[in-house]
Amino acid sequence: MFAQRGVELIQELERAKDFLPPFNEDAVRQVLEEMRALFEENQRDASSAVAGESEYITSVHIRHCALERNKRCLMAYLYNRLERIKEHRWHFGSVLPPDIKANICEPETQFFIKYNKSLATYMKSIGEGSYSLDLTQNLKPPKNLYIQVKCLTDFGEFETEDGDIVVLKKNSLHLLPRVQCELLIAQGVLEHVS
Amino acid sequence: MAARFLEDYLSRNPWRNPQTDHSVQLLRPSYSPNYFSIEDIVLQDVRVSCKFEVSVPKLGMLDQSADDQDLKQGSKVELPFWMVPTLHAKKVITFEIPRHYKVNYRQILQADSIVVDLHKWGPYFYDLGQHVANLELKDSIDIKKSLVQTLLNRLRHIMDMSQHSTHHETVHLIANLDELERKLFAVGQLSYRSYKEWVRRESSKINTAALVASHRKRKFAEVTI
Repeated sequence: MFAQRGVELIQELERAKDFLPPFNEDAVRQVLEEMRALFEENQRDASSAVAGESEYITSVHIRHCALERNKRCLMAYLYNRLERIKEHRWHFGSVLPPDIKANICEPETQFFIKYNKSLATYMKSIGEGSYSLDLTQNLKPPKNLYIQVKCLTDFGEFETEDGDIVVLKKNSLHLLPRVQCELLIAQGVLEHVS
Repeated sequence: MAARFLEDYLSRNPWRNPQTDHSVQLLRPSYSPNYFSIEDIVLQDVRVSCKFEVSVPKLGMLDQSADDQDLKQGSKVELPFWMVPTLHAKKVITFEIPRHYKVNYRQILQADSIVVDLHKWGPYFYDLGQHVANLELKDSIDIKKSLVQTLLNRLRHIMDMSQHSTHHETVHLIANLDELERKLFAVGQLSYRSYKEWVRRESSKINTAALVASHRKRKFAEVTI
């Protein structure tokens, strides 16, 4: 049946709802192969229809349907992967862990870099002069300036903006300014203790 | 609250940030306006039985039982649903409505919608029903009315369950619901959990990002295997 490989690609994405599976280049190539074969058959039938035999028109329609279906599968596969990459920027920050990077193909890496650049440019453009707003911080309305955090892993030394060096050992408690630790909390290095 | 659920589903709120508001992601509509929807693509792969009104040369492979090169006129074939709208519009096939949308099943829904196992009737009952009804058949209006009425009847039950269930009982409760209802249920649970968090004053607590947490769990699972 037509577009079987296409639906398999989509099902791959559906199964992996919260992570990015490796880019399935083989399947994409097979779908493109199938589209090319369908298109060529359609060309042949359409030209014979123009020449006078009109009985092939229905086959042309059906093959065209299958072509559209394959196209939709491929587009949806690429689009949904890009949406997930965008989500990764907001959850992981601008540097992705290496095992996720291994699952992304080259054009998608380019997309990620450009998305980071666009986001950074936009954040710099808010406000006047050199004031920039970090949109990835303060995702929940802040209640206080300093927060109590507990360290979950041995991170090492962390330098805050005022120059204080804080040694982050496992299970140590610190009172740090909110803006400094939000990124580390999001990455799971620190834990917010109230 | 029922109005808010339906309103959210039928019109995406532009001011809710998809990055932080998970309910928006859960309720992404899967019906025809959304070309890229994964679920819409998967659900249209379902097979429906159709009868060909014209003979189609060279495409005999669509009919698995016959060995012909060509498709004979009048042959009954099981086609995937994505082929049906175009072929139906061009009058190449006569389309038989899948049995769960026919009159007797509609009457069952009218009698008592709440006890029906919609997951068994098709995990995408409402979405497929909308696609079928949009084909301009004799029964289209009745199918649409029946779909809306069923959802309205079951909605109160879903809302009730979602606001009053713990994490563990969920599997039994949602066994009878189709995919759309499961999404509504998940949104309800999420809103209940957020409310509880707010009451406990934990809503200002910054959490590890969702993807980071699941990434860690997966890495840990791989390392320990």
